[in-house]
Amino acid sequence: MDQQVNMYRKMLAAAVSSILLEHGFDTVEKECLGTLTEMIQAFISEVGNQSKNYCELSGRSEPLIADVVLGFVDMGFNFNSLDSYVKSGKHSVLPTLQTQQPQKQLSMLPAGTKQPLPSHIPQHLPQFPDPHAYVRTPTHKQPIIDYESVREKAAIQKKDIEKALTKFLAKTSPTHNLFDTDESNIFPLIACKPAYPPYLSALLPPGSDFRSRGLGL
Amino acid sequence: MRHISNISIPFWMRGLELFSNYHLAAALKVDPDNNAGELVVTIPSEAAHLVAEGTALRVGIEFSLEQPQGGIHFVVPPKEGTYAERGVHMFTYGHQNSSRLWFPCVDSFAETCTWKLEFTVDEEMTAVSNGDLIEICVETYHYSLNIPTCAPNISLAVGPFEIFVDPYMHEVTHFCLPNLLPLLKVTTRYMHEAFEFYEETLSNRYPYSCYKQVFVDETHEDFRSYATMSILSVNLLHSAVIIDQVYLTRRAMAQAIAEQFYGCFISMQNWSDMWLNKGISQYLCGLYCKKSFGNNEYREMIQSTLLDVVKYEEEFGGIVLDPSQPPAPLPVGANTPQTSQKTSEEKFYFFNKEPPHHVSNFLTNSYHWQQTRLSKNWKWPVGSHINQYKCLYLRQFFTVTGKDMAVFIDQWVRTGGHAKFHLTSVFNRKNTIELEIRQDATTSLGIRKYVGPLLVTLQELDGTFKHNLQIENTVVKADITCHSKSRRNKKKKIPLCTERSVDMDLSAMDDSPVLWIRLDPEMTLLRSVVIEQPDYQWQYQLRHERDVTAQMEAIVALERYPTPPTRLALTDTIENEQSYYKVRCRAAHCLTKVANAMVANWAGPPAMLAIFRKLFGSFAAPHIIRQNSFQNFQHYYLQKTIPLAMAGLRNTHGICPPEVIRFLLDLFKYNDNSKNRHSDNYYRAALVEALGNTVTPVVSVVSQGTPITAENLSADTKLILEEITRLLNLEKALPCYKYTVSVACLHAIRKLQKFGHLPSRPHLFKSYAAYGHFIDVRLAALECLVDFVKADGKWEDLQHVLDILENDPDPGLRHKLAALLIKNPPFKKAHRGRLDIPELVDRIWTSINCMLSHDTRLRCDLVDLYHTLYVKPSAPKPIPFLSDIKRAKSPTSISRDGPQPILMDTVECMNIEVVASEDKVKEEEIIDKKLLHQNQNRSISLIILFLCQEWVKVVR
Repeated sequence: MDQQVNMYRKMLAAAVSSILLEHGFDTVEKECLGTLTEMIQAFISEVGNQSKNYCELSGRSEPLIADVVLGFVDMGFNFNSLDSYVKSGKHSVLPTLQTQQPQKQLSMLPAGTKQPLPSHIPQHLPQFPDPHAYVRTPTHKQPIIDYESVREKAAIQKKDIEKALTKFLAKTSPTHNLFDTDESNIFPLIACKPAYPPYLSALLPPGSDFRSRGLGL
Repeated sequence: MRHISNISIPFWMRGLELFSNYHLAAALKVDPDNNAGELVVTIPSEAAHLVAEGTALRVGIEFSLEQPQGGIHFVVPPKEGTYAERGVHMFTYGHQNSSRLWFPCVDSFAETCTWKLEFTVDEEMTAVSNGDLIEICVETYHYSLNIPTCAPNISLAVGPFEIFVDPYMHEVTHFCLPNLLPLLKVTTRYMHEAFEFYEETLSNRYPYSCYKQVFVDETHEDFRSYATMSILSVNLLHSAVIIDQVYLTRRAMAQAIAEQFYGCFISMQNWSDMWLNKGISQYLCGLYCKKSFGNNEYREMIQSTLLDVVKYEEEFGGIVLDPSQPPAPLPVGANTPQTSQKTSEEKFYFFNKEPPHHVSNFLTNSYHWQQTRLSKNWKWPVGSHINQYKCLYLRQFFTVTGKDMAVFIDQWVRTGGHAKFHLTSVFNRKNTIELEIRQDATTSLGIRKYVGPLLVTLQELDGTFKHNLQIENTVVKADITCHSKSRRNKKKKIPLCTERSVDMDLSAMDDSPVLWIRLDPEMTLLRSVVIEQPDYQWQYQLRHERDVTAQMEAIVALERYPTPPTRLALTDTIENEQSYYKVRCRAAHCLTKVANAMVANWAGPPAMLAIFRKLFGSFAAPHIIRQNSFQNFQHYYLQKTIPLAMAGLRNTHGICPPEVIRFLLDLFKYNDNSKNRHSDNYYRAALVEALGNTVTPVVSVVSQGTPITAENLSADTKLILEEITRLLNLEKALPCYKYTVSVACLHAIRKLQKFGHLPSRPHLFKSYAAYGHFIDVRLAALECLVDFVKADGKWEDLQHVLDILENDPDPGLRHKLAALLIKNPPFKKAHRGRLDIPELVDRIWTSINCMLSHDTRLRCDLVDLYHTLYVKPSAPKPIPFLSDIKRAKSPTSISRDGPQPILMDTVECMNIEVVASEDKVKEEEIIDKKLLHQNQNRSISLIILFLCQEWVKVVR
């Protein structure tokens, strides 16, 4: 609503300003312009009210030009002079009103489709807000816990880890190539290097001891 | 020399022949049993009167040994730190009597004395030697051994050992290298059981006051027993999460202990008695294995040993256990050609590779053994001379049992070869079954005629019936009346020999009431058996006979009958939880062959896929394998075997079906060992091996000669290669027990190379074969390398292998590498191979003659290699002629150039391997069969078997 009032007032203020320019004013104080705008607004509103009253008095729902003339008369305004005023001078034409773009904000906020009001709530009451405002939405996907996919995931994860580890090691250490050409070493083998004493890592592989400890040995 | 023509090939053959003579002469010159030796002590004239008076003369020998080439092995890892931190250690080793390599002694098993030993070592080191530790004063260890012991049984090990006293038997102490104590405790957990078992079985105490086990690295052989101590390979140790190694280790330890009784405490007088000690100790160890691993395991072991021996004899000729005497001269005419000759030849063999002769020895042993054990009259021979030799044995045996064993010994100990029976049967309408047992191949290598009793078992509808047949000729026919009438429609349980009854589906039978026939089911003879019976009888035998050896035989036979009933019988066996696991595994492999033969009309998914999913698939999703849980021992082995067997499947195009490859890749993908108490390293290795086995020769789209690149690999190969490289790389960061996965990966890569999927290159294997890697990995790499050399190798590749063979620090590895080369020689003899060049022959010849005085075993290996490469198998010539010729020769010394050309046209080429078979007795007489009772035969043949196995092991 405010928006619209402001729009009308803006237009009225523009009209007042152009009239003032026609009459030779160069500047106007903001307060004066406001007052003048307020006055012309009050005037036009009053004329409209009067016209409506006359129209309703004669049993109509829409005012005719005669009703408007009577409204002017009631306000003590000579309607005929209006005609000459329009024809007399060259008035500057106000720019046509731009159709107001619907506010972008409105379209950004809604999320999802609004729920229609349930039947026990009168339809005139405000609509529900956007669903996200009141519906609880899980913030994460529910994990799938059937056996097959769990195993699948564990397998893939394990493989990925191993792949990443071996790839890293292969990149950071010397490698063997199974092929003759160097450029296509897509299956690099990490070069082996002797470890002394060789039996130690073979008989006691790292990671084996914690398991056996669990067996109470 | 450059020009090796046809003439010069016999030249080299003669070389080996000549070599054997000189070698024998050299051996005899230093043989203490022949009063020959290396050290001459001149008694100074001042002391001469002592000799005259007959008083004692004490001789002290002071010597020092620097940089010994053999006899003592030092393991010195090249890294930083003190000796203890680096695990530096040393120990003595050698093939049989090799003690003279590290101290002056009468190096004979026949000369015994008591010992006092003192060792001064570094502070952080422990010296372990024979006898009781008397005291340790200032880094000096004093040992004293009061039981007379021969020099070859003296040993020493020094190292920064961790010491563990056996909690069950305080007289037993275990030693291992630093950091391995937890493994040592696990490994030796059950060792005391072997002691208890032996003492109980022999009804005698363990003869020594203490026993020590030392686990060291880079051993010559897996274990070697010395008086009161044994030196074992560190690689026998295992942790509690390992399954497969446990059986091997326990067996090795049990064998080492058995050799304390027979071999150390009771040693031998002559080399020809060796079979007694070897035989009895292996028999004892076998009994222990039977007790701890079960009767099935034991019977299966006997059977596979028997098969090994048969295979060996048919390839190389009969094995004579005791060559010291020929079999008693046969009454009729008989060839008495070679008494002395044979002995010497055998002697040569003995020194070379002692095993062959000892094979037949088993006979006497078990005979004696059985009797002594039963009668309990046997006592340890007490006295200053503890050598027990055959005469003593025989006398003892005779005293105890009143039986003369001469015939028995002649038949099995002094004669090589085995019997081969061929059985056919026909059922005639008179309700009799006509059996025909033939011994056709008695003239083939390693086979001889058998005369004596033979047990035939018929399983009929009414039960099991045993028939004792007398084998007197090459063809024996017997009509046996069946006990049961053919009545296929009657429903009745069928009694088995185990006195249990089973229901059988008899619809496959024809009129005969015989379900199956078995020959010599108790394996009392050294024999091979071919039985011809229809496939349904084999199927019945597989399904219903409860003896594992019968089931094994049935499986082998069923390979020839690829029919749906066979398939069903095999499938049922694999699924049967009551069956012995080795039978099930074997059935799986057999099913592979049957499925491949039936590929044209095979319906349904690949063989065994359904079984595997049923056994190991998870409940919710059968295509995903369950998390590993190796609680069920049989399932563990099946889980390892079935993928391997499936990998052998081929479709009509001769390639592995894609669904099998996908199945295998899925096994890798879903393998999850996180909840398992055991390690899955052997399982993963089996999977890699299976993956390697799916590889078939590449179908080349590109023309030959274009380089193989990663881009033009097939999709399946890429997947396989990706899996293999990932696992091999992972082993660098997360190694598994004994690097089993790396070993399998190397083999798989070699297979890909061999079949043209990868360029055939040796670099990878060379680097893995280098010193400093774990021995199993090195051996795998060497095996691949040897294979590469055979296929694509150049001279420098072969040189690389030979360098390792000659110079590697690890003596055990050198021997095993030689075995690999012999098994897979770089070229076939007389095929004019690329590598058949004079340098190679020179090199081997030089090694044999000049380089290996300290390592007789390797020398024998090289002689074998030489033989494999250059000596043509030819009909053996009677030796006497040769020997005459040789005697005429002037004793030129063996130079690296080989024999002198004078000999060229006088001597025919000889195959030394064949020489052993000379002992075959060509004419045999009927022997008094009453002597040979089945039972006695049985245990005797067991011992024979073990001996044979020993021999085969050494040779292979």
